[in-house]
Amino acid sequence: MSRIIFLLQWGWWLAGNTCRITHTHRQKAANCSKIRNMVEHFFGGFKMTLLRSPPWVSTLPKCLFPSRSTQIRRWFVFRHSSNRRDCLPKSGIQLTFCFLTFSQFNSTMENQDIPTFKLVLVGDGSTGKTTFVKRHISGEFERKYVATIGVEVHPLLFHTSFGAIKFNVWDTAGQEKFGGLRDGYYIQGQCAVIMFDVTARVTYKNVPNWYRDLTRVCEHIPIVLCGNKVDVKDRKVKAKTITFHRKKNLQYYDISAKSNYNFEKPFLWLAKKLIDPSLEFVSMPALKPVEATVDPALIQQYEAELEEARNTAIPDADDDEDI
Amino acid sequence: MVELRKRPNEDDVAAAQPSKRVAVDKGNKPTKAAATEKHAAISPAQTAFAAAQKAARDAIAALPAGSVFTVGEGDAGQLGLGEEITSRKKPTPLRSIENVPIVRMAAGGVHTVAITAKGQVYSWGCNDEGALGRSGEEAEPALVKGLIENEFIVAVTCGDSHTNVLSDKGVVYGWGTYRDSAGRMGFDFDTLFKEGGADKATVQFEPKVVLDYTAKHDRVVRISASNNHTIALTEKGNIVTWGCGEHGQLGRVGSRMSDRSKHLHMLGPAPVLIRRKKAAPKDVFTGGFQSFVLFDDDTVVAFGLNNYYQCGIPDVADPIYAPTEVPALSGRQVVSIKGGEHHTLALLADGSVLSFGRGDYGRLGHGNNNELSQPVKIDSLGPSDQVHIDKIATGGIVSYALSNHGEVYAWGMGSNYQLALGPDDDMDTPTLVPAPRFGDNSVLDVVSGGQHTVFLVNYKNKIVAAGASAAPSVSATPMQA
Repeated sequence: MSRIIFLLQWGWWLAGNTCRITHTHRQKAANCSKIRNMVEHFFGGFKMTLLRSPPWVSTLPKCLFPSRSTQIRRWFVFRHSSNRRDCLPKSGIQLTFCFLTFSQFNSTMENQDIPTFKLVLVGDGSTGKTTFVKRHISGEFERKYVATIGVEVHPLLFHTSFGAIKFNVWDTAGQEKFGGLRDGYYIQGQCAVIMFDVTARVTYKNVPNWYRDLTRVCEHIPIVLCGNKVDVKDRKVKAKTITFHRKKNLQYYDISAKSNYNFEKPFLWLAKKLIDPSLEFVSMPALKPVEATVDPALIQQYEAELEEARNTAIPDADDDEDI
Repeated sequence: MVELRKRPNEDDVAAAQPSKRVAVDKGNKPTKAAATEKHAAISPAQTAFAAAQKAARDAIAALPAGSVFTVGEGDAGQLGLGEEITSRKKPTPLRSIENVPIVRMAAGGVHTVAITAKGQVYSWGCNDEGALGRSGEEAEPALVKGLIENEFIVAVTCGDSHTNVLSDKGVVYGWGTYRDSAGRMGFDFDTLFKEGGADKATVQFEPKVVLDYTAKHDRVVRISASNNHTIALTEKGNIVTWGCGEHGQLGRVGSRMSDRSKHLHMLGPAPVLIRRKKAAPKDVFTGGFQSFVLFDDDTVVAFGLNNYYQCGIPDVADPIYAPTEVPALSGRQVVSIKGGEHHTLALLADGSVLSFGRGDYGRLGHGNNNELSQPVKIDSLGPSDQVHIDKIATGGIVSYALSNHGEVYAWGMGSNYQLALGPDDDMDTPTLVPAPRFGDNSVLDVVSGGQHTVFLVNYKNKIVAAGASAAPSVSATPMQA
C-alpha cells in the first residue's frame, strides 16, 4: 500500500446522508452501494470497490475518542479501482477507510414529525459559536457535517409548552475565517443568532456586516444578538455601547457558553417569535457541566446596566448638530 | 599600530589600513589623524543614512497639514469625539486636536492613528488588545509615548488590533496583537511566551521595535497593514511580512504551515521570496486578507485570500499561498492598490480607478452588486479634462476616491453612515460627498476602518472651481432622502 487515507470526519457526513441502516440482507447491500457512491463522489468520481469484510478489519480500532457516542459501529474499507491509470498509485493499491459510529446508527431512527427550524449561527472567528452549540448534549451527538458547504448542523431539541421543537443550528465549521459566507449558508434560514465576544470589541466590528448578509438573503427573520464570554472578568463591551440591536429591533442577550449562563434565552426568544409569544420551555435541555462560573454579583450588575441602557434613548445620529 | 588594531569600534579593516600609514607618517599627532581619517572612512554610509533620514523628514514637512474629521459608527470610541458620541452621520471635526497639524492617518478595524508634521503619533479608539499603544482615555485622541516618544514617525498603518509605524531612521515599531480564526495570536515572540504560552497569547500595550535593519545598512521605506498582517519594503528591495498567514497573505507560509502551532513562524518578520523575478519591488499594498507588491517593471504580484477574486486572479477560488503575478494589473501603470474586506481598488497613473472582488452592497461602484474576477474600470470616475482621481481608499465594505480638487467620492455599504452622505443607503456608484460637509474645504486624505471613516481636511484651501458647481447636482439625491 503506498498510501492510506483515513476519512475520520467524513464518517459524520456519511451518517447524515445514509438513510436507515437495516438488517435485511438486500437492504444491507443497497446501503453499501450507497456508501460507495458517496465515497466515490468525494474522490471526484474515481471508482472504488468496497472490500467485503476482509479478515483484518476486526483489528481496526473500535474507539477513537473516549466517549460512548463515538465508538465505532462499523468500518468500511474501499480499494481505489479507477480505470484511469493516472488516478492510481504507481505501485501497490490505495485503500480508503471510513467508519460509522453507534450514535450515527441510532440517529437515523428519529421522529420526523417535530417542527424544525433552520437557525443560522454567525459571528467572527473565536467568538465561541461552536462552544455554544456544543453545550447541548444530545444535539452534539446528532450533529451532521455537510461537507459541500463546510457546515456542521446541530439538531437541538427543546421541549416547550407547545410540544417538542427542533432547531437545526448551522455552525460554520471555520468557514467564517474568510470573513464572509456564501449565500448557500443562509438560504432558507428561519431565524439567526449573531455572536460577538464581549472581551474583544474588534469582534463587534463585523456585526453590521453579518446582519446585512443575513437580511439580504433571508428577509424579516427573527435575529438575536449574543455577547459571549461574560464570565471573563475583564469585560470590555459595556451594556450601553451595545446599541446595534436597538437600532435594528433585534433581541440582545449576555451569554456565557462555558458556564451555561443564558444558554436557552436566545432559543426561547426565537421560539416565541416563530411559534407563539406565550410559549415557554417546560424542561431544560441537558447541558454539559459548567466549566466556568459567572460571579452572581457581576451578573446582577450587568443586568442592571442592560436594564438602564434599555430605558435610555439611543444616542441619536439623526439630527447630529454641528459640534 | 597595535593600539589601533585593538580598537573595538573599528568597523572596517580596509578603512583602518590607510589610517595606520597616516599614523606612522605623522608621528607626533597619531591619534587625532587616525580619528579624522576613520571618520572620513565611515562617513559615506553615515551621510547616506543621514541624508535618507533628512529626506524622510522633509517629505513629511512638505506634506500639507490638515484637520481630522470623522464619520460613521464609533461604539468603541474610534470617532475620537468622546464617550458620549458613538455615531455621526456627518463628518465632524475633532476639536481636541484642532490645532495639531496632522499629515498622515490610518484607520484600523476599530481604532484610528494619526501622525503630525513633527512626527508625533496620536491614537484613539478601541484599546482592548493594545491597538492604541498607550493607556488612558480611549475615545479622545492622545499622544503615544514610550519608545517612539523621541522618534520622528513618518508613516503609519493599522490592522484590526495592531498598529505599525515607521520612523525616519527606517525602523518599524508596532503594538497591539494579531488575531486569526481562533482568536488572539499574540504580537511577537516575547508576548507569546510572557505567560501561559499560545493559549493566553498576550498583548503588546507599548510601542516596540518590530523591524530594524539599520545594522545591515538597510532601511524600511514602505509599510502597509490590513486586518491581521503587515508587509514592509526595504530600500534594498526586501519584502518582509509578518502576522496571520491563514489565507496566504504572508506570501511565505503555505497552507500546511499556517495553522496555530506555527505561530512563531508567522509572527516573526521574515522576507518573502518571489521566484523568477528580476525587477526590484517599488511599493507594497494590502487588502483585508491579501497583499500586493508593485515592481518597477510595472508588474503586480499578489498573494492571499482569493475567494471573491480579490487578488485579481481569476479561476482560482483557493487562497494564493505563493506570490503570483496578476496579469490583469501588470503593464497598466498601477500607482496604488487598496483593499477592503473582500474587494480591491487599483489606481492607474492616468487617474482611472479599477475595482474587482466581491460586489455586494455596491462596493465595486459599477452600479450593480456583481462579483468581478478581473479588474474593471469605473467609468463614472473619469478621468476627464478637469477632474482626475489622485488617491483611493477602502474601508471594510466601502470605497473612496479623492479627486485632484480635493473632493471625495464614496460608494459601498451605507449601514454604518461611513459614506458621509447622511442616510444609511448603499451607493453602488461613486457619489460625491457634498463639499459643505467639510466647510467647502478641500480634503487631503481619506482613510476608512471597519465602521468609521476619517478625513483629513485642509482648512486653508477652499474648493472653488469644479467642486462648487458639481456638488449640488450630484449630491442632490442623498441630501433629500
